[in-house]
Amino acid sequence: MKYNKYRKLVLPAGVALFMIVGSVFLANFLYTRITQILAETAQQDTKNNILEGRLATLQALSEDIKEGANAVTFAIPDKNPSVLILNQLKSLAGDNNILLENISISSQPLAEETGLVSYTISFEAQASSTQILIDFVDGLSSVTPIINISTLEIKSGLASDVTATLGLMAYSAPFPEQLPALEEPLVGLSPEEQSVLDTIQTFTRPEVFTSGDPATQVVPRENPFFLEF
Amino acid sequence: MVSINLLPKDSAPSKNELRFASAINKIAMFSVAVFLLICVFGGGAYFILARQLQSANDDAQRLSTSVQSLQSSESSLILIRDRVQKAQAALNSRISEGYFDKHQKILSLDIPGISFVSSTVDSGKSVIELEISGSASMASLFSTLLADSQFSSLILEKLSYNSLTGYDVTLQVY
Repeated sequence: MKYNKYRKLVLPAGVALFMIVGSVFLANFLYTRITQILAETAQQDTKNNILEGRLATLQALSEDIKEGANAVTFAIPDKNPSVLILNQLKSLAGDNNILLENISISSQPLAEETGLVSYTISFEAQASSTQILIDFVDGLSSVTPIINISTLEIKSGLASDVTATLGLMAYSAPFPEQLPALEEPLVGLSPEEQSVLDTIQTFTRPEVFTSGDPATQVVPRENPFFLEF
Repeated sequence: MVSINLLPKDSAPSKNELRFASAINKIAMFSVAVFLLICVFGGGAYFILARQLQSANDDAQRLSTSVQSLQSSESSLILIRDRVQKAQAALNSRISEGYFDKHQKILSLDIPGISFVSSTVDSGKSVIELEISGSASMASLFSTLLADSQFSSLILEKLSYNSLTGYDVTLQVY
């Protein structure tokens, strides 16, 4: 009899218990999911910001970027630049009426951190005056592929002719093999990089290669940087 | 109307029991309300945030497509940066060129009575040899060179005199 008094409480007590337990489970589930969604959204927003920055950088690049890529590819080619160097030497020598002799080329790996392979080109040059030879040597510093003077000895002869023995350094380096991941930020060229690029673009390129765009001559492209002369 | 209670007095709930039953009912109603609130607000928040995430994913897809459409510009930029860094390293190692510029500077002074004999340059050596016809020309050359701040170091390596050709001067120029 006594327990009959509590029979009416079973339903509300059961409902209360079910709702409390249900509320706890539901709240826990929603909290977990919402936290997860917030984290994913924040992560996605960060990626989107990077993508937007990347897109803005790429859209801001001028059409000259292709020309710049072409110029720097000649400055530091990915393969042995000896043929290009010889072409430049021949051209400069022809412009200055200089006779080139005893040309030799050798290559050696440079420090690994720069990734450069250097090539030593040595030869003798003969000119009719000191000034002609000076102009020739001067011209070497403003051609691509980039050439550095390693050794230079100029001697005026007994006659009016002047001879020079030159050792030059040229460089090559493999092209980058992949683009950075989309999640990585991308910025344009720094002022220093732009300045070097501007300098390189003023350099004289090998004549036989300036008429065509080497970037469009290779099909198929093994990677986005594969440019062949 | 008269209220008649036919139940035995001991079966009637006590005040405490009535209070307990009322509390249970209130708790039940409150827990239902809380459950509903969680359903409405939690579910609503979940729905809105899921939409936002979907929108962010859609944006990412759109941006990725746009970026990939500019891949050729990107590869050019990466290529330029890579080559420029290497070119800069090569250009920064131009030492002999700087020495040779100084030799040119000496030759361009155009002082009468001075003629060029030889010039030797490498990364650690910069020597120019000149023939100078008289002491006046030599004095003029040295005074000009000493007044020029472009030359950080001038070392007279050799000085000889020949009655036919005049002075033979070998200078280390840095």
